[in-house]
Amino acid sequence: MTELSCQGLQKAFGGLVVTDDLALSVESGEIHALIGPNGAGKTTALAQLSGELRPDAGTVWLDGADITDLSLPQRVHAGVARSYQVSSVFRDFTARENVELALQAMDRHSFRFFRPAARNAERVERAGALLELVGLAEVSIVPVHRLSHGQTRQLEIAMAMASDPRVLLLDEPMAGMAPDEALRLAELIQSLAAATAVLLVEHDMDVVFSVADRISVLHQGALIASGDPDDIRADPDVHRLYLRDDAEG
Amino acid sequence: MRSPSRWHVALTVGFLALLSVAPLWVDASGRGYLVTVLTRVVIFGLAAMSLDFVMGYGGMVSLGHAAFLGAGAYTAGALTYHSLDGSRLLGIPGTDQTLVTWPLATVVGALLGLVIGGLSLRTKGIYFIMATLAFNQMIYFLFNALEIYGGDDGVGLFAARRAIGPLDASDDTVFFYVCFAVLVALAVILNLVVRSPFGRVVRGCRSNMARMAALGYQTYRYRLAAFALSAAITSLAGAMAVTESQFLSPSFAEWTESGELLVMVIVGGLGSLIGGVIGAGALFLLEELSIDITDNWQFFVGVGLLAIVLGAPRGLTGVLLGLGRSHD
Repeated sequence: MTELSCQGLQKAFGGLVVTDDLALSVESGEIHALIGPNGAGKTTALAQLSGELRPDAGTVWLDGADITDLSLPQRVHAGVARSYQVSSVFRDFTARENVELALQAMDRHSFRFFRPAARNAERVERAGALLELVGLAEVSIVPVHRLSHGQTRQLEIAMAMASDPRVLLLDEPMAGMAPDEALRLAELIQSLAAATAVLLVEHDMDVVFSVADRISVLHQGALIASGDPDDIRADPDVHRLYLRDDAEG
Repeated sequence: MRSPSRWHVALTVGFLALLSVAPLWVDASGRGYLVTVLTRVVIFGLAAMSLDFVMGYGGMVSLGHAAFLGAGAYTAGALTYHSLDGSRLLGIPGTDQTLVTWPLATVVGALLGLVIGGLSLRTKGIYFIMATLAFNQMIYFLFNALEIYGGDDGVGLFAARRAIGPLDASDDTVFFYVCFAVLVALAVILNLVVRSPFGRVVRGCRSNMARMAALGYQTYRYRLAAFALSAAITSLAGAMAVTESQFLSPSFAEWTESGELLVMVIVGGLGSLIGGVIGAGALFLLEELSIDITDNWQFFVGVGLLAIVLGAPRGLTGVLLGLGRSHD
């Protein structure tokens, strides 16, 4: 079943076309990787799917419903969650408070003024479970600015999962990670696919080819190839424009 | 935001306890006239505390809070003025009953906060500061133009009672304790609010607004609600201040007053609530101590402010908390 899809997506900054007639779909249970050289427009495409950027033209659907006009917060409530290329967390809060804040966002509203937030036992418990899921249970009460880079990335995923999304958009989750950390995160992402569809933007080709069910390749804003990992590995265009450069670089 | 610690609660309770016995002490030491200074510490401390709520917890640096101080002062002051000369304000009779004027000033402040905040929060960073300042100036000149209340000279309300229900709080010590009770009530409320789900959202917006939106929060409405709450409390403080001084003038709304509240918050300690009151205490005390020695007491305020910004960025509260706990 198709969870998230887009058709005819178009975006230009001034004269520079960054998304060119893009059509994509993310199916339930799959990990779909979006790859391409620097400046190919991967993050921009992700931002249009998440609702941070409004496309100049084109349509985005979630589970068949047109969500093009929904804002970022509205899309989160509809079932699209994302993480960021540069870790974006609440540095003064503890890890658990970060996840609790993410869980609280799913309440209809937060105009609750008097009962201490920390006394919501059910939420504290769910936050604990999410931290457990990403392997951060033992640092739950550590302020986030004291976590390692890898742990911060794991926390990002726990926060994105807090909304119980239909689709999870991950923007270079492995960026800056040590190889063994990246390996563990790849396993985690694979385990998430049972609960949510994943669209993964990633530079680490080892990870992409090991976890992705399907790969799409962007070049100058346009899709040049899409298929399963073996097709993509064999595609001459992809090789010429991207993979070989990457291997040499 | 570091999680609320026992030390922070102890400091809040301790300082308020100290303030509660201060009138007895100045009385005993034969300087009873200082009670009015203590009352101003309470009133302006309340305003600074509410500014700290939006600034220290919400990350909204407002240079326009004197507009709310003025709005409260003019709401309460105008009603008192009309009760004195028996005239009517828009067909409504005036009153010097603070159980009416103070709550009304609070409501007026909240509404004005929704308008000013509603527009200012569409901007970010330095532009937000400038927007609040611009509104402050507009309100200030509006009050200047109110000839009925003496224009830029203002008007004395000295014949007015300080009626609080059946109680006439014309006695300065009684009036101090009335104001002190209001401060304590709001200190409790604000300390609950910053720990509540709402408070957590407001603090989250200060820490990382883009991420809040990505989590699904409509950040604008929470920040606006926080701003309006702060405006309401500052406006209440303005009403209390005009009841205290019994003189209504546009100087309440002068933008330098916004700056002074800002200084109180920073001297006292950003993001601590009680810091606003401590800052107000430090500032008024410094003024009182140095005014006998020099007219240029503000020079020493400047030196003190520099020392704090450079040496103790978390203000006097940070210094006191630092004495309390070893290290974070």
